[in-house]
Amino acid sequence: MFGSDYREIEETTNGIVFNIEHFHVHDGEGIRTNVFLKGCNLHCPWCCNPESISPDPQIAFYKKFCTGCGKCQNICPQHCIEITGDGKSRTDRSRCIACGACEKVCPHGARELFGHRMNVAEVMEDVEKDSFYFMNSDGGMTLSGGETCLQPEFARALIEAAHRRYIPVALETAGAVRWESLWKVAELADEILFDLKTTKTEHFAQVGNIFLKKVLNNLHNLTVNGKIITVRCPIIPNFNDTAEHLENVAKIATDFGIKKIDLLPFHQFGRHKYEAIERAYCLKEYPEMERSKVEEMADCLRKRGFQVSVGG
Amino acid sequence: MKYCYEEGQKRTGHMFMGEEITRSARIETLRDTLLEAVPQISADRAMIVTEAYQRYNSETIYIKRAKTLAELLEKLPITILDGELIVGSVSDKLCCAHIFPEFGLDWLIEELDGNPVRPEKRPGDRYEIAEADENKLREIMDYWRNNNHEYRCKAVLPEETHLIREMGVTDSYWLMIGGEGHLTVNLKRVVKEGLGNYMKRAKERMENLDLSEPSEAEQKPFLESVLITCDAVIKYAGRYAALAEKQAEETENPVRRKELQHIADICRRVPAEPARDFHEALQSIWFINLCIQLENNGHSISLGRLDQNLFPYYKEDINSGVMRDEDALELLECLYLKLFQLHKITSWGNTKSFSGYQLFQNITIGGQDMNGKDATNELSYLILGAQAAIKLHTPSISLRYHDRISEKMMYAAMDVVRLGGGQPAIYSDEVYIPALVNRGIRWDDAVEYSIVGCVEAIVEGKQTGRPNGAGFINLQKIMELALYGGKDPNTDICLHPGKGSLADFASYEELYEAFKEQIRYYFKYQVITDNMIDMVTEKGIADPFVSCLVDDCIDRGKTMKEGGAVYDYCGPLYVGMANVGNTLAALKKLVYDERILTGVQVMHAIQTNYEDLTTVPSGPDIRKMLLDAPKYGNDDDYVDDIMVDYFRFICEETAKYKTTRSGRGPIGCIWQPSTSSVSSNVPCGECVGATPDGRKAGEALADTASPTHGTDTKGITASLKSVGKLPTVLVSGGQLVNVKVMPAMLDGMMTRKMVQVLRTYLGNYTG
Repeated sequence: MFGSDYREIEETTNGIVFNIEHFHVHDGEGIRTNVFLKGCNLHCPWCCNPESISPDPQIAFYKKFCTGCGKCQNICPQHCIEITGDGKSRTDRSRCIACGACEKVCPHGARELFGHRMNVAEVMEDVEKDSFYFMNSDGGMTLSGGETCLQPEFARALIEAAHRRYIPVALETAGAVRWESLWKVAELADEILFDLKTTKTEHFAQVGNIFLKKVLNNLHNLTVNGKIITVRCPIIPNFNDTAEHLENVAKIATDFGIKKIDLLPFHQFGRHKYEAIERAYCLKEYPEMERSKVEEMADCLRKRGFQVSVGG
Repeated sequence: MKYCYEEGQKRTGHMFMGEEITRSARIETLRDTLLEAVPQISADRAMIVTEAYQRYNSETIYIKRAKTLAELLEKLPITILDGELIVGSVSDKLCCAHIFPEFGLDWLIEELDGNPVRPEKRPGDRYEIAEADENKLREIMDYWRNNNHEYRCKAVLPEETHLIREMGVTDSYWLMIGGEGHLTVNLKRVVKEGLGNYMKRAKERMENLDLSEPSEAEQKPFLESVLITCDAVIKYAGRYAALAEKQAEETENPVRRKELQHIADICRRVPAEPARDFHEALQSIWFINLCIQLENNGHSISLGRLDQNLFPYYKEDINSGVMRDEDALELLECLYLKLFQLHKITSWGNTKSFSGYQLFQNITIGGQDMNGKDATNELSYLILGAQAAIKLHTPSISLRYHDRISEKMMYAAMDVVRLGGGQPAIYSDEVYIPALVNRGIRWDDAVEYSIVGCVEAIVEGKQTGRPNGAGFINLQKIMELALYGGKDPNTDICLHPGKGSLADFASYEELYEAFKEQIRYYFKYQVITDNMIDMVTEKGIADPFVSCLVDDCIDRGKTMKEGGAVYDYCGPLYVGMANVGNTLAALKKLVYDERILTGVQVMHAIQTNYEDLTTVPSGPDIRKMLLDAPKYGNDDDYVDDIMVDYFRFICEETAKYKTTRSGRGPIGCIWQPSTSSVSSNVPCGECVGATPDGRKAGEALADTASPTHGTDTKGITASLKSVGKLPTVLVSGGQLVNVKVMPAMLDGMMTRKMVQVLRTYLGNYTG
């Protein structure tokens, strides 16, 4: 009664969240709280949140803070941490169960657990904290990732829970999933931020095991179903920073009746995280995308009647 | 008059309200001249005062002070810089700090002897002094030895207060060497009526006194002093009229000649007569504030709601075509440069708490009218625009926010915020007005509040009580004393033994009560100190000129310190707010709720500055556990509730005490809290050892009501929400929170989101 019926659902539906960040201002209308769901089926080499890719929790290790004090070694239930010759700790990731015990004892903040199993009620408790800011800015919650639609039940439950609290929800997705999963989440979302990685079939094969055509079908279906969509395009130097790509984006947007486009210039802010989770990063020395160039691209699109933001 | 010319305009590259800001050639030259000038110490004032004090030694204090001011205004050298439109400066030196020997000279002589450091060798806020001036000051030092305000204050204060200062719990030293300040006199009325009318009122009052009635007879010397000082101020303006005329004759520039002739006319008229236009009104205001600054050694002498008070003059000039907006802007910028030019030096110890050559001269804009309607007008934008153009730390522009304020004003304010420099400061009517009403101020007056000093809201022209501010109270030092059973680990002084130390407290309640008990004790001494200093000020300084400009001093025949003002409030400034909350929360969680650590362990850890590696857990481990405990500024109710509770206690404890004017006329006369720590959080931290919020010995305390540096990790929304939970409505002395954002946060669309954050914080959370 009066909402109590949902308490059990909210407390039992759970998923893996790797971050909840307040005061996000680029991902949807107004002031947003971003909930990042862990796990992604794409493997874009430019990803700036590499910790989002694996669906499981994982330990990040910031080597420069480590003093080799050995506290993590002593607490680890898997005995998979040792202090190596350089006076730093090292984790045998093949045995690590990401329990987070080492994070708690590290006095220097050298260890951080990415990914916590949270239920809907716990997430909402945090999200609701900024409800006044949402009210004054038409903001709300943004589900982001990873790929949000890989945890469809959880994501949908989060949107339902937000709506019970009158909080609008934006959904960020790359759309590279089965339509059924996508729709299960997208159906209730108030706005959708659709990441269009590239517009070339052979390029898309480099980032995922899915045909670009299917992604575009999904995008089309969303528009047919009346969803409000912003297309977001990462702009990667020497990959898709071309007039041809821009033209394709404009064409897709025009065909599907989409008005808003965000251009996201490639940056290196995520570099240190690759090291922390010991994931190979092939764009380590890659130059950042020049902002001025992206602004020019944006102006091109603006002239054609689109609402464009850069870095949005 | 046309003052603004396009030739030689300098583009600044900064944008304000969609236009690029330019500085006229006049402003650019004046600004450069003042920026390049090194502040100098002058002995001129000190010498004149020394002579005058000897000459008028047998007069009453009112007459002695009045005649001293009159001599100063007659004898101090005056200048008009080329291009100046608003005239009046304290000296012929460009940036000059006068000396106020009657408040105490020993500190300066000590500093000149290199103890702790000579004024020109200070790490910051340096002053140069010419050998001749230094020699003069040394000549008069014997006359002032044991014959000054500081000495008289120290003589009457109880022994404990000296020990308390030595421990670093409270600091009111600058009250002893500084005079009346922290107020805005009734500038609106002076501009409208002219000082002539003030003299008339004083004369009438004097004529009607029944001298056979003792309570009336004692008013006579004050009223006489009003006549002396007002007359002297009018003559002082006359000196500028004469100088302007002389310069007009000498100049070969016909445009400047016309300006100087006009300035001469203005100075012959104001502040004696009512101002007739915008230029006269600004000049009148400046003469008044300048003379107050020369009368005594106070700071935070502010200008009030300039956009409201001067709007009629501005509007009439614009409507009649006498002046364009550009000219009004030029005049405002000239006024700002006069405010910037003013310097006062205080001891290096005090300067550390008030660093940055600050005299805290505030101009308030925005806010609402008596019916709650947005009061923002064209002049508000000009005042803000002048600040954007001048881009100096003085004056301080204070914007009064309320829920109905226009989005245009918020964006204009953000344009200035974007320039850096922390201007304008933003205040919320949604909390300040109820806070003032709660202290007994009438709604009509509360709505008219303006800002003085750092954050203090006062009813301009009607309210007094804070001499130069009031003492700092080092809350975290008091917390430390509670943890150590009342004994200061630094100095071994124990004034108020507690019932035990952290090693003994059996429950959180016992710890909390021990803290409250120390607070009660030291607050009381703070009140004793500041009230006794006020008593000495009343008898020994009197401040006749500044008093007569505050309602209803003339009608009551009393100075401010005797109870002449309509409203009167005093109050301390709290330092280390967040540290105390974090300390209580960390101890509650680890020692009393979860019992992971014992009080003995934490006690040992803080005594060894978290450096003992031999214990289990070791010092650094304990520090890490304490640092990981909930911290204020993250929208975490565990610690925020503790903050709110202890803060409410402190506010209520403060408001129990009365000022020395209680029962002598003014409404209020109570003590009220403020969280403006200025820069004292740094020196205040120096005397506090390691504390259980994870802070190491000697580290700076948290400033103002802001979260401790680096502990608010959940972003600006959470941080401001935490601050918004505090019972700010009880902090009628002024609440302050410092927010620093990356310039990118104010780019384009982001500005809108910052405004939305501010509206939520200032409006919904009444922060």
